Amino acid sequence: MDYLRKKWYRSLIFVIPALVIYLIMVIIPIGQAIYYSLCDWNGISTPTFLGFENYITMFTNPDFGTVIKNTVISTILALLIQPTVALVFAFMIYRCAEKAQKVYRVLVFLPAVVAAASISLMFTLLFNSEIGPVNQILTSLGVQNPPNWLSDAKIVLYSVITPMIYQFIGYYVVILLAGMQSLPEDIFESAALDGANVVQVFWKIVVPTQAETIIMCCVLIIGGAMKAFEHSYIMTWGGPGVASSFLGVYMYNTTFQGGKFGMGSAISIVIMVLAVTFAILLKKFGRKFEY
Amino acid sequence: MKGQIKSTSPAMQKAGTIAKYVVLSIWSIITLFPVVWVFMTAFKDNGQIFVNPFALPNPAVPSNLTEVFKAVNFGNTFLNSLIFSASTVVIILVITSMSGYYCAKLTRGMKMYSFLILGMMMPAQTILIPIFTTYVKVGMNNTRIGLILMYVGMNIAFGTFILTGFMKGVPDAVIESGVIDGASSLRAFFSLVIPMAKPGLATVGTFVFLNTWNDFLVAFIMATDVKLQTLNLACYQLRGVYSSDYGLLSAGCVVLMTPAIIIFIVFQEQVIKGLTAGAVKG
Repeated sequence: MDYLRKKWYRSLIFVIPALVIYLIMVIIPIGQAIYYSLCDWNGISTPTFLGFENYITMFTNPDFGTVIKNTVISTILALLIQPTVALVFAFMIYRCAEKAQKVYRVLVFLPAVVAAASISLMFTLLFNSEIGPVNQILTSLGVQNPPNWLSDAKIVLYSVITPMIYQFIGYYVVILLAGMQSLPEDIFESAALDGANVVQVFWKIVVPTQAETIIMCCVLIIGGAMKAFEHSYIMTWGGPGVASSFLGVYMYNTTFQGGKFGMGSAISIVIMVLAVTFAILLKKFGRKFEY
Repeated sequence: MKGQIKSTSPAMQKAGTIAKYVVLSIWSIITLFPVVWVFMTAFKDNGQIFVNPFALPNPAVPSNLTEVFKAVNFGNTFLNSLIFSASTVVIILVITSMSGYYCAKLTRGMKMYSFLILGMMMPAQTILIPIFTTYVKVGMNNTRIGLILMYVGMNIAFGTFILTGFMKGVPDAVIESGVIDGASSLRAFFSLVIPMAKPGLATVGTFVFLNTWNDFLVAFIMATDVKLQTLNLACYQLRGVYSSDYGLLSAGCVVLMTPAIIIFIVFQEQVIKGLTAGAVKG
C-alpha cells in the first residue's frame, strides 16, 4: 500500500469529489446558518446583523417554552417505551427458530421502512373524530364523547407522539436483535447449567451485554426526537398554535410561514447543538458501561 | 437452537414456546393493523367506510386506486421520485466508495474520516435554510440538479461511514498484486476493489434509495413546482382536495407505501445491515 500512498496527490483524487460536495453542501451551510442566526432577515434582502438578539427573543418567547416542553415529553416517552418494548420483543424473537426470526423481523420492521408521511396520513385517518377506527371502537364500547384526537389542544401532542413511537419500535427491535445474535452461545449454555430461568437470563445476561447497544438506541431516539417533523406537521401542522409542535416544526413555521429566516436559523442551530451534544454526552456516558 | 434455556422441564418449555409465539403474533398483528386497515379502506367507497370501518370491502371498489393514480399524477410524480432516488444512489455510490477507499487504504490517519463522519450528526434542518436561500439566489431552486445535490450532500457522511468499514475488509494483498501486474491505482480500484465491496455498495445503495424515496421535508421546501413533485409530496396534498374521501386518501397511502415495502422485502438484508451498522457493537 505504501506504493500508492507515496504518490499522495494521486490518492487525493479518490476523496476530492466527496470532500468538495461535503464542504459545499454541509460545512459551508452550517457556517451560513450560524451567521444567519445572528441576523434579522426575511430571506431576500440583506440580513441585518443583530448579535444574539434572536436567541434572546427565542428563549423568552413562551411558544418556545411550549415547543421545548413538547420535545422533552416526546423524548422521554420515546426513551421509556421504545427501548424497553424493543428489548423484550427482540429477546423473544431471538429465542425463536431462525426462519421465524426472519419473518417476525420483517413484520415488525415494516412500518419503519415506509415513509413517515404515509404513517402520518394513516394515523390522521385512524384518529379522525367521526369515522376513524379508534373512535369507532370507543363508541361501540359505550364511551359517550370520544376525544377529538387531532384538535383538542390538551391531547394533540400525544396523538402526534403515538405514530412516532409506533413507527420506529421495529427499528430498535432489529438493532437489538442483531446485537443479541452476535453473542456467543456458550453464555446461554453455561447459564442453563447453572439452572437459570428465562427471566434471570434476560436480566443478568442479555441486558448487561446489550447495554452499549441500548445506549446507542437512546442516542438515536434522542437525535430523532430533536429532528422530528413529518408526523407533527402532516397530522396537525404543529397546532393548534404550537400545542403539538416540535423544534423542527417550529423552525419551519417560523421561517417559511412567518418569514423570519434569521430566527429560523437560530432555531435550527439550537436543534443542531442539542442533537450533537446529546450524541456526544451519551457516548461518553455509555463508555462507563463497557466491560 | 440459539438462546435455548435448557434448565426447565420439557412441558414448561413447550408452554413457554407456545406463549412466546402467541405473544409475538399478537404483537405483529398490532403492528401491522394500521397498514392492513389502510389497505382495506383503500378499496372501499365512503359509504362502506361509514357503515363499518372494519369490515372487508364488499364489494371491493378499485376505482379509488385508479382515481388516485390520476390525482397524484402518478406517472409524473413516480418518475420524479425515481429519478431523485436513483440519481442520488448512483452518485453516492461512486463518490463514497472512493472516499471510503481513501479513508480505509490510502491514508494513515483518521482525520479525513472523522471529518466526513461528522455529517451524520447534523440535522437536515440546519443546512436547509442556507441552501434554500442560496438556491433561490442563483436560480437553482426547483431544479432537479439542486435537489439531487442536496440529497447527495445529506448522504455523504453515511456512505463514507459504511464503505470505509467495508473497504477496510478488502485485503491489501489483492490491491498490491493488481498494482504489481501493472494496473494504475484507479484501475486497481475499479476492477479489483469494487467487486469485493459489493455487499457494502448494496447496503448503502438500498439505504440511500429508501431515505430519498421517503423524504418529505427537503422536497416540501425545494420542489414546489408541479413538474418536480415527488410521489410523497403528491400524496400529502391529496388531503387538501380530497379531505373527506377517506377511501381515496387510503389509496394514496397505499400507492406511496407499496414501492418501499417491495424494495424492503427484496433487499431486507441490505436494509437491516445498513441500519444496524455502527449501532451494534461487536
